Amino acid sequence: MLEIQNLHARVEEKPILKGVNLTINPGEVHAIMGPNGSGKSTLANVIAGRDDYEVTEGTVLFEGEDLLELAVDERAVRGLFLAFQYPVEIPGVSNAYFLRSALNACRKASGQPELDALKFMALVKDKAKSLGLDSSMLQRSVNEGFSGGEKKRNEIFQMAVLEPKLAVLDETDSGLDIDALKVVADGVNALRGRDRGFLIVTHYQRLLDHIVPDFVHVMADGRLVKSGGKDLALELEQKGYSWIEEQFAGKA
Amino acid sequence: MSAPAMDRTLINGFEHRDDGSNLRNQAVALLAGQELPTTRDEEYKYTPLNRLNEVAWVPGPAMQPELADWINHLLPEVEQYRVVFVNGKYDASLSNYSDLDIAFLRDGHPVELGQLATANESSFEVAAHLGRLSKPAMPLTAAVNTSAFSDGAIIRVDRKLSKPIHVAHIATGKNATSAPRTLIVAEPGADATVVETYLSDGETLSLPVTEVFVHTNAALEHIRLGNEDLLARHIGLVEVRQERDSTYRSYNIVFGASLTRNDINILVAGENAHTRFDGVIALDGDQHADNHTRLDHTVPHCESFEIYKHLLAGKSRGVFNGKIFVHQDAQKTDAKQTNMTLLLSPHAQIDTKPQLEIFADDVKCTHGATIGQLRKDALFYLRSRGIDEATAQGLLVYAFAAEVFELIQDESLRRALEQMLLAKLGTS
Ligand SMILES: Nc1ncnc2c1ncn2[C@@H]1O[C@H](COP(=O)(O)OP(=O)(O)O)[C@@H](O)[C@H]1O
Ligand SMILES: [Mg+2]
Repeated sequence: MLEIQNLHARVEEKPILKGVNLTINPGEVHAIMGPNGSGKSTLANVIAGRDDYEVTEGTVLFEGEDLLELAVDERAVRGLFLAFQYPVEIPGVSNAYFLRSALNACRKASGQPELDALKFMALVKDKAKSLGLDSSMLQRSVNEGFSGGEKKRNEIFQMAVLEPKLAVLDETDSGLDIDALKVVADGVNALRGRDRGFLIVTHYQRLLDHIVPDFVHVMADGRLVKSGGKDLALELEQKGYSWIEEQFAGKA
Repeated sequence: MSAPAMDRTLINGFEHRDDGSNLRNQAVALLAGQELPTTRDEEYKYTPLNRLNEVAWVPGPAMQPELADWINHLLPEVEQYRVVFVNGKYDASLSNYSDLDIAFLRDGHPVELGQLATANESSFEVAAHLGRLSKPAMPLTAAVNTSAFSDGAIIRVDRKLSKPIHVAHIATGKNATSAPRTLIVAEPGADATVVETYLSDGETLSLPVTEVFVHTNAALEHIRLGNEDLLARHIGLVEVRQERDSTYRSYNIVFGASLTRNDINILVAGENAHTRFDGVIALDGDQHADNHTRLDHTVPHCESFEIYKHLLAGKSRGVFNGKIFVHQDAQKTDAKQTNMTLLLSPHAQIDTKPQLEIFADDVKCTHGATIGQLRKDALFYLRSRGIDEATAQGLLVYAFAAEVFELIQDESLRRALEQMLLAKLGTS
């Protein structure tokens, strides 16, 4: 469903992605690990369409369509979702209004009728609860005054409501205690299925104890330098990243 | 010049009504020999009024407009007591205020129309209140109103009302002038909302004056909505006096008119009074709005909070001047002023000037101003969930103003105003 070929991207003249190749098929869960600053968030944001990054080379296809030609919201309504490493606070816009607008935009794009406020609330209340979020948070402003853990759970909550085809999770585990981590993992696992793909960006392997990936890739200096099965994550955990940095960082 | 002094008005299209009353005479005396303020006048530096006379304004004609033409502008979804003036003349056919205690000025004289009001009471209200606030430091435009106004509403509330009182002023006719006059008296025990809306269908000039008395233990919410045609001019004055233990909340909302100049002056004369005075000014195209507020804390133990928000698109220009005077006796004053501007276009402009003058030593006074654009990270976040760009922008712009609107008590009124804002921003 996602095919990335030779992707190069830069920010303010500085090259960050230097030839990324990655294919994700429906039903697969891929993990990307790697040292800080290696370009993991950049890849996630380029896929989502953030315009701070300039793609200088390469292609990204989503279900056969040229993703790079689509606007941010067009990507989203086609079923792409990014769980942010740093979710944004938006004072004055309630979670409920925000999420209902988003859901209805997605439903409209796929020819489904829009949901009114009542039907929406019925749909989302249980999902919020299962992620340990009090439903009163729906009336609060988006992420405003949320703890780090609440923000991350809110990302997964949004994902659960929007039911994307491909979800990219950027360090959703960082800053979570072990209970919250399990809640988040349960949320992801509940959505796993034959038609849905995941790209899970993480610095640590502990999330991958709970969301067992089909493939693990290592990013270093803007490239995926090593790929393997779930055991690669354990290996990285034991050895750390320094050997990878030594081996690949110089090659730029 | 040959025109007799009696007929002299400062602005084209306003006729002095000589009824021999002190009120009129004082206004005329004030106007004698004066000129409209120019850019050289510090208080009018960004908004010179001398150019008003470049238009050949004429007195607004007496009209009986069709309700159907105006109903959509009269907040139809809000349950309300409604009092309508057309070109400054009371229009009974558009009004509906049932059991309310409203008296009227007709041709400058009080007449009794409200079912509960007696002629004597009305006379009493007028004698005690009309013109009392707007006298000493009256801007010249207010003097023009006082010399020229015809009809007006005298609203007296002494209890809790279940729905807002809506005073609508319609200006209509090419180059028509009007001088709306409103007197609001919140008696002890009052708890009410008064909405003044200003409407127009073309190039009109309105010079409204509103005097507000908030007596001991009274609570008044006062919403003022400028929603005139984009060719209209609006020069308004609001004078407020608050007594002990009173609450006054002012919402100054400007969406319409090519030129707006408002002065809102609040005198806090009794202890333990609470004042909240906010503004939402949303402009686009060539619109220009200049809002001056002044609050005088003259007694101890009072609290005031002011927040003005400008949303400026196109080539519009906002001007804000916020004066807060804390007089020597006003110890333990807690005053806060905030001014936030969202520039939605590189050609929009804002000039803001906070002016805190503090003569007491044991007080808490702060002010802050921010000017910014829509946050890119917030836009990206919204769009990354599927919300299209225009809608996302609208949401953020709306959120910026929501902080002010969400305090409005009547829910249907709040929604109606929110919808107007969204419509104004082109994203409803
Ligand atoms: N918006 C940006 N502006 C400037 N530099 C950036 C920006 N985003 C990322 N970078 C730089 O790109 C590199 C990769 O960052 P990032 O993709 O966030 O790495 P990771 O997520 O793997 O930690 C870093 O050196 C970072 O400083
Ligand atoms: Mg990162």
